Amino acid sequence: MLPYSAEVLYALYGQYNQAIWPIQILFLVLAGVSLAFTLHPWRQAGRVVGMILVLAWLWAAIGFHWQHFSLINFSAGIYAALFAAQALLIAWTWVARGGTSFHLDRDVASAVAVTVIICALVVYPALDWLAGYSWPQWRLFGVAPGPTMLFTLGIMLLAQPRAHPVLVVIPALWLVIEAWSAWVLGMPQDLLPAVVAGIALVLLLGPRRLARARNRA
Amino acid sequence: MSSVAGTPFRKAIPASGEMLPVIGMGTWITFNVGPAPDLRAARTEVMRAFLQLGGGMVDSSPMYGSAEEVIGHALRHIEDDGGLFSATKVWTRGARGGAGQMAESRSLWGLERFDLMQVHNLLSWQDHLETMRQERDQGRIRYIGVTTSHGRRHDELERIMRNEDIDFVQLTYNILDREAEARLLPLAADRGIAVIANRPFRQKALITRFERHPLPGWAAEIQCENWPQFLLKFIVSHHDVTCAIPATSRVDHMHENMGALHGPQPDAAMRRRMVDYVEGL
Repeated sequence: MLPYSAEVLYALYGQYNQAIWPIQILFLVLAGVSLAFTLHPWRQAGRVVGMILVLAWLWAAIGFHWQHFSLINFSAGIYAALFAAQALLIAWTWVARGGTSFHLDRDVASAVAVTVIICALVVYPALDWLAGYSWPQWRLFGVAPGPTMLFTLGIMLLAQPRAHPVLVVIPALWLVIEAWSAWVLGMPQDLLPAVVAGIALVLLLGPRRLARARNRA
Repeated sequence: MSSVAGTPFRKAIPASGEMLPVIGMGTWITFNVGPAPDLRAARTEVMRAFLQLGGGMVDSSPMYGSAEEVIGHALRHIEDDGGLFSATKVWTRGARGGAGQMAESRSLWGLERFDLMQVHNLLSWQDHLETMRQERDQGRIRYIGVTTSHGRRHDELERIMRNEDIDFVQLTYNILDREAEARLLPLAADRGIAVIANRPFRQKALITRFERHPLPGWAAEIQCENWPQFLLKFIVSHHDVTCAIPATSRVDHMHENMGALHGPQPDAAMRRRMVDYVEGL
């Protein structure tokens, strides 16, 4: 039972994206910076990437949930708190404590990570477009919760040491909320990102040997 | 679109004898469109059609996101809202926020007084009924009531109807959800409580389910031209139901709904026939 329709949700994204322009560009640049640090390992990479993810989760918490989504959804305050909590968890585990680096390897985790990140940055808005919604109604990394969750899962798959399970709880919860919402609202375009995110979660929480299995494809 | 000629079917509010058109308008989902100007303009046209076609009760709630704000936007753009019967709800836990929420609703709608204030889904109903009585004494509310939906908490609702002085009750009643017929509707009649039927189409599910079947030929006897009219006439023809509140985001669907205000209403035998028909589909 949701108090809005898919038409209204996309109308809200349209207004939101217009209101915050060009923040979307900033986050796409920051996504690029994150990927550069994951591809070229450096001791402080975890801290830099962590700070970018903290910024993205905080923006989605305050800029989207608190300031915009709350206009049509009485649960948005709870979602804002969840996203802010995830920002704090990332800040504590990756930024404050440090010690995290990233490795792109020829294993299942890396292959899925690349797929998930492409999905978060490109496929998500492309699916919105294919569903009949043009810019500025697209959902983008950093400003919309779904792509932010997906991008974060992709980065976590590349993290060494393995991301602590507590970091995965809120993204998993959001995946469930978003998948349920998509089902209620009749948004089949969210099916593919949900499946991809589900696979990422299995690798992040499942046996380590599953994620590190060599990719022979 | 259906004809709208003739006097609209109205029923008396038992507490006062005031006459109310039997088809109202719900705003759950349909009026929660946020700030989008085009969607707000579209909903303004829906409400304009509702009032022009003889509608009265518009029902909302603070729970419905931006719906109350959008209603206020529509009312500011409609030249003649003389027939409006404004109904909203209080939806907050505990007594403290109740009066403030009602004041905010008045501000959002642009009204000084609500015709009906209801406790949403019985939430903190003891606290809010007390506040609502004070608001009524001060002229900011005309009638008070309580609501449930989806057939939930009927036992508690029955206790409130028996023990509290309320003017309206809102509950789920439609051609397939008829549990209220057993105790709640007769009790409402006994206690002089007006009944608002919500979820008349189970949020469109009944229309979707039945529209692939033809209306029975005998539906013409009660001037039903489409399934919404068939379903609404079943509801409002119950002796103890005062009005139904279908929601829509489309003007053409509003015209269909409002057609149920006109023409003959089904009698007991016809109502039985209607139930038998849809249960056989």
